[in-house]
Amino acid sequence: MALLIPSTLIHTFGSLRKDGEVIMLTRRSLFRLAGAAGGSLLAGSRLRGAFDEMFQAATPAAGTQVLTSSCGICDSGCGLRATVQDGVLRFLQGLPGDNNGGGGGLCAKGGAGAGLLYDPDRLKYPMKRTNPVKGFDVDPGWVRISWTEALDTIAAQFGNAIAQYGAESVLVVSRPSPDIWTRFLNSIGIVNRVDHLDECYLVNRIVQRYMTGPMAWAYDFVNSKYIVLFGWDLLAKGKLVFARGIVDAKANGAKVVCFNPQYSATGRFADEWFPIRPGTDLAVALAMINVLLSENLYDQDFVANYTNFPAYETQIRSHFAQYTPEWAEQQSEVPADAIRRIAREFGQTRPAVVPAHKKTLCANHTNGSQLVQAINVLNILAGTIDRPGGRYAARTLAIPTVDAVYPPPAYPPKRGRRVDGKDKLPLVLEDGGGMFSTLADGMLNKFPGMIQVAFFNQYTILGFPNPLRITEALKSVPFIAVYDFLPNDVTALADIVLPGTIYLEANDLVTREMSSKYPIVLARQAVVPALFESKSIAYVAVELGKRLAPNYFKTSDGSWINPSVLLDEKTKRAGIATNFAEFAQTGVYSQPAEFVPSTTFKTPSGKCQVFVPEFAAKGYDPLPVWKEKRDLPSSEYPYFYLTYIPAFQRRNTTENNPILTEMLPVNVANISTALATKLGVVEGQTVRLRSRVGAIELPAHLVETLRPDVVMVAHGYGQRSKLLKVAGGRGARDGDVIPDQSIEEVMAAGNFAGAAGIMDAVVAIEPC
Amino acid sequence: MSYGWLLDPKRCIECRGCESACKQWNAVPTFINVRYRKVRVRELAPYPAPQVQTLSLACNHCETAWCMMVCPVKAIKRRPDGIVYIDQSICVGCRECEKFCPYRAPQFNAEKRKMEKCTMCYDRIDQGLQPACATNCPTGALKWGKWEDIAAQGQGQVDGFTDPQYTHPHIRFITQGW
Amino acid sequence: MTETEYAPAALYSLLGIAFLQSDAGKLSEILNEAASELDPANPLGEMIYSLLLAVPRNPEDLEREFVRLFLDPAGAPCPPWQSAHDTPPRLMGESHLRALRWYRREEVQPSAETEPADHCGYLLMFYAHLLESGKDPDLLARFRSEHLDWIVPWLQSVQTQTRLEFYRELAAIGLLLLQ
Repeated sequence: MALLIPSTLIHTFGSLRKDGEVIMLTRRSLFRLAGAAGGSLLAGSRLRGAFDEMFQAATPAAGTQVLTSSCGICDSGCGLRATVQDGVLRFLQGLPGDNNGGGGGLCAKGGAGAGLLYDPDRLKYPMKRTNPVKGFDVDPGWVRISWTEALDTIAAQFGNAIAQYGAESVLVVSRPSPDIWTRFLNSIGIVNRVDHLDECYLVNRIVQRYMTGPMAWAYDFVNSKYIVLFGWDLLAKGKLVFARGIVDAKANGAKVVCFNPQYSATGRFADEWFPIRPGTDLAVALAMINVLLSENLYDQDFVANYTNFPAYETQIRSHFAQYTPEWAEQQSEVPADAIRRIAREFGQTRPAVVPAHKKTLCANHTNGSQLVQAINVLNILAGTIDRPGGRYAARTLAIPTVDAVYPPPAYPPKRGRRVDGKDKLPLVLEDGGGMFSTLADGMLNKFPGMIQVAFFNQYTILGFPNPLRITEALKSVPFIAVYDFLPNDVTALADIVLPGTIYLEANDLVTREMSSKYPIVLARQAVVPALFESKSIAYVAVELGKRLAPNYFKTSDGSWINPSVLLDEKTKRAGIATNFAEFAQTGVYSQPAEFVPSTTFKTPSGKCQVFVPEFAAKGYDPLPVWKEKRDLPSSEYPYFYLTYIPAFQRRNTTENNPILTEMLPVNVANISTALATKLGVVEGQTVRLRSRVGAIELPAHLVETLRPDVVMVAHGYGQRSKLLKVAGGRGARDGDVIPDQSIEEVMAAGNFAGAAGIMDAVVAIEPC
Repeated sequence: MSYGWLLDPKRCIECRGCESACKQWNAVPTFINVRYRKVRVRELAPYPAPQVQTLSLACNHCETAWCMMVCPVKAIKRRPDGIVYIDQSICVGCRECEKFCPYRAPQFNAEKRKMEKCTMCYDRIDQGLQPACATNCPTGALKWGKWEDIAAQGQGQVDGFTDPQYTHPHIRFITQGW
Repeated sequence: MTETEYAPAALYSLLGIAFLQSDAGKLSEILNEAASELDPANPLGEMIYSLLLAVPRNPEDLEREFVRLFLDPAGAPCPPWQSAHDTPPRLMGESHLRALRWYRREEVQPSAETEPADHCGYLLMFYAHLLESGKDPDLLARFRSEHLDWIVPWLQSVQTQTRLEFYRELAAIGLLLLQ
């Protein structure tokens, strides 16, 4: 005969009615009531048992340790020292002596790594949704599940989709990851592995394969004497290995010339800055080649001995004759005499280099394919391919891949259609990278309903141009699994969420691809145990592999591949140490050696190729031609839209970090004071930026550092996810005004290497 | 023996590693407009020939610290090594120091209702370490060291920085070009 | 143990366990046992019975609400770790380290080694343990001010944010206990 006491009663009146008598419930009376019961409720009861379950015997405090590791926020991979007190990370600093990384320092992002590690919004446990309705404002009804259940479910989904609809029905949207993950994808014949490389270095990698051989991004800036930057804001991009390189170059007397619509941090370092018309760097590059050729200012020795220039000289000279500095001035608004003078200086001040890294030259605009092609010609003519002061092939340590350590059976053929359409671009097809800019069109228009299962490995919707469109495309995918460490926008559409480790919680070998003149490897070791139930992507690869392709995940003695044993094997076979733990004690391994410049190059002919016959064979231009960027100003959309990434932000790792986001709490529409006057806009006034695909609203910020026909917005803001306390709902989503593409558009534009055009947009600016 | 800052602004790459390190080490609160160290970016000339200055500034632990002089409750004190700090147990948040500091070093913490500022990480100095900011500067734009070594280097003032003759801040600027 | 510290030990422990796990079956068993050990006429027993009856029929409902309230991703309006209420919010802050020190002095530590030690559930259960061990009032007061006072506004937010009767009642009991 227990009385039901509605909590509203207790809550409102703090009282009980017992036998008609109202008893005011206060803390004291509560105790008295409880005391009157008699008997200890804790002893020998389930509560006692619960205590013993929740607590165990104490182990001694761990004290303070200082561990060496490598930052994993960006690819600079700067060496770091982590001070860990009783298992808690207290401070991150640079590794002294890390001369081809952070130089003993750490940028804001790396220094704030604890903010990511201990972000209360981090994904902590595997979860599944119980509410089938998906949307950003819909409660998914998450419940926790075990890793086993999560992996079993994902494996079953993969397996069923492949069996019923073929491998093409599984979309894996995956960041470059440890090779064991690629092994898993290869072992089940995944056709549609897509990454963002068309927005990044895809063009560079493709073009280099035919022009200079693969040597993506190591630059010997310290020995450069003339550096021409087309839009690459080295400093504001915040990769210390390069930023420090420019500082070293200047200290050694280099001249730096910057072509950029924005007078950026790099502009401050430049000796000359030209506010070039957006998307016309190609014109200036072509004109520079014209001058080098017409005045014979190129490195004659290098060109004669190491390039195919002599074989095609007539065609080459005749081709570039049309691209005069006067012509280039009309396209770019850079004065012709300046172009001519800079070209001469470039040809005569040696060593000279035009660095090309990732997005800025490859993918900002859709003429990136041609721009990278032209820049490679410039560097070849300057004779600084794999030479001091130029771009060189990093002499990274050869570390055996997982396939070398545990040779797999032959992988099944990849049968199926590419949802992003990259098979229509033969040069892109032969590269491993995938295309974000055409994915939505592929999923919505070309192959609707083809994708049954999607797996997202550390990407957000912010990474796509026109995120609304990819969101629409994803909403029709029946099953989505997400592996990540922060619950960004994609999580809102997921069926299963897997909590991932961050770089501070996982072990890896870091080869210095951006700076190794001789082999240097850093140990990236876990400085704290992985939080909650987070696991590495290597673990996920092996576990899914066990379920779906067991024959590819056994070692020769029949036991399962173990990621940490694999890492030990790699460490041992590379000659670094007997195992990873031993390596991690010092953390740095190097094999100093003299830099011996290459005399042959890994191109089809063994020489640097100015003229690329392989491009001609595929119907492309063997020499770079002028192309406009895709979106040009019109009366409806008169202004160029540009984006940038602040030096203290990096996709998916920093936007929820209060220390970093405080530095720029909301993104703003940066416009010149002249443009503001023309529009009648004042500082802080909300403006709407409207393009042919979407619109955003954000406050205007007036600057002197921009061309008056440009509006520039910081990327990385505008996450919808309310699951991110700092980043959620903050700022505007820059991608909403940037058009995505169809593969036909890419082909029609002669965009042979698939440049995404990730800021190729024009807008109207409307004061609000 | 005292200490000071040596700034070489031309080497500053605006990475804000100094700001971040300071916030990490000192657990400085965020989003309440309190930053002990700030990379100050100023436009000096208009388009089409813009000029921008960046200076990483914190507290200069001045020899004649006006903040100390005007504090009505004597919350601001000086260590034997010259480092000026605000005793949080005494500070009442009257904000007088904020008005008198030429370098905007003391910041008002609206949640605690007290003033806070750069302490030159004296807890690190006492362990033989450098302040967090200088430790993490990747280009040597921001250096910290003994004032006797720094005082003779570079200039005492740059554009937009208050004349050092008033408070004798322990900071020097390398203004020589590349 | 005096009357004022004695029985609440059970309540603290109950509160703690209910915020640490969402296994509806287990919680029901614990509540059942606790209620049955009390005199049926005791209004406290009624409160516990009421809580027991508020346990959702479908165990998944409890798990869903537990995740929504306390764990991301779900907007987690009520993160249950003390450090998450620091400025700026974080995990493994000073409270975690101080809590660990308290636990170690009693020669215990949380079994889940990769989770923060300043989860309110651990703190409440540990306080129950302190009560049961008959610690002196000054020590108890110190632990309350260092590690339990923050739970009061947190319980209020649980009350406001939850959609489940169970958590509303649980929070109400907690508020009575701690205020």
